[in-house]
Amino acid sequence: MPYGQKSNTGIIFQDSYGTAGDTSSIHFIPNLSESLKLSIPPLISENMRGVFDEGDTYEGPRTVDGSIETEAQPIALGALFKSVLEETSNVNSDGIYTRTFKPRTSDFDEKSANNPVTAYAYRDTGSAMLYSDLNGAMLELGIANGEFLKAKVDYVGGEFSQSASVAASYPVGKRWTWDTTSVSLGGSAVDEIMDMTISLDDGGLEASHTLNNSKYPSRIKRTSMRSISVSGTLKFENQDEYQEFISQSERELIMTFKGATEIQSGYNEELIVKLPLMRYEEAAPAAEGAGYIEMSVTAKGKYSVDSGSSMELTLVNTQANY
Amino acid sequence: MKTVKWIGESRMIPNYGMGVAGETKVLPVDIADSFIKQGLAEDVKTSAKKTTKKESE
Repeated sequence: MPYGQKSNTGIIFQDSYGTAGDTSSIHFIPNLSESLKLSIPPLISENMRGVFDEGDTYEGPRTVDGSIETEAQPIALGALFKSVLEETSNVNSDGIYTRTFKPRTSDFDEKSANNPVTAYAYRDTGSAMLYSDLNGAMLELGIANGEFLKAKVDYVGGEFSQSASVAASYPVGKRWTWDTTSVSLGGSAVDEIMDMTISLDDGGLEASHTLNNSKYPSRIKRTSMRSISVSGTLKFENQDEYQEFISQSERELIMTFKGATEIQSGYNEELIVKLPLMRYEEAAPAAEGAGYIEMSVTAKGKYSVDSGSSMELTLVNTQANY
Repeated sequence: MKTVKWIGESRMIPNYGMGVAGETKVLPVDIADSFIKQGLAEDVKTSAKKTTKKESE
């Protein structure tokens, strides 16, 4: 009987679109769930032929989609980031690596918007499944009080094949928890936030097929503009943030997640999420019962001409290479 | 079972403890061979032979 808890999921970064990653270089991702799947839609003939029954079935364009959701682990998280964003810098200080990830300013290559990846999924029976030529299309980071930081990446693509399973090994290191998380808005610490989720839609990435003698997509390209959404809940103990909604101000949002234990003297695994310009779209304080009044908010992360980006993630861990 | 030396970054091996760089581990042959293929471990016998050969040179 195959169990989810004995499944292994990982990511392999491809050098180019069209060549699946080698299973000898998998970044295994401890995960809450994965939902990668191959779709084979039917192509049904509509010719009329004197009967009421639908026509012959052929294979339509094959695609792969699905997501990997995880309680963010500092080393594995870097692999998820790299499948959606571009690593713009990496500074090594005695084995402590500080990386900066930003949304791409140009496509990975002419066929792939982001770095193509192969997702490896072994589901505790038979061969492992390889979903290659995938792009990370959406990234979601969310945390609520009393919980872990969670990360989710949605993938689109791609090719499908099967291969022998490989022995899994997982990165170790403590996860980030709510009690070592802080938020600042416009340079001031804000302590009334109860939960917050930041989502990046990297331009509606879509797998497209061409007449190239293949059932699989030949390209993954953007279909819309990139957008960054923020949602959260605040305790409505003052009207400071509501006034920011009314004035439609644009301020810097910084969320800092600091690992609970040192990985080297003076260094902790750390994640800093920075949106240079956050602008509220909705703020809705509501007395929905006898208890504390809360305010749900939604906002957008806007592109900053000063920083040249709409989002910046800084990740500190001990991983040398992705 | 096969004895390997872990040469990759420290990792948790499901059901077999930690792989720590520089330390040896005794693993079932198929798992050991898979880690060797992934470049995370090397066969202690093979690496010992290499070392001996280098020393004799």
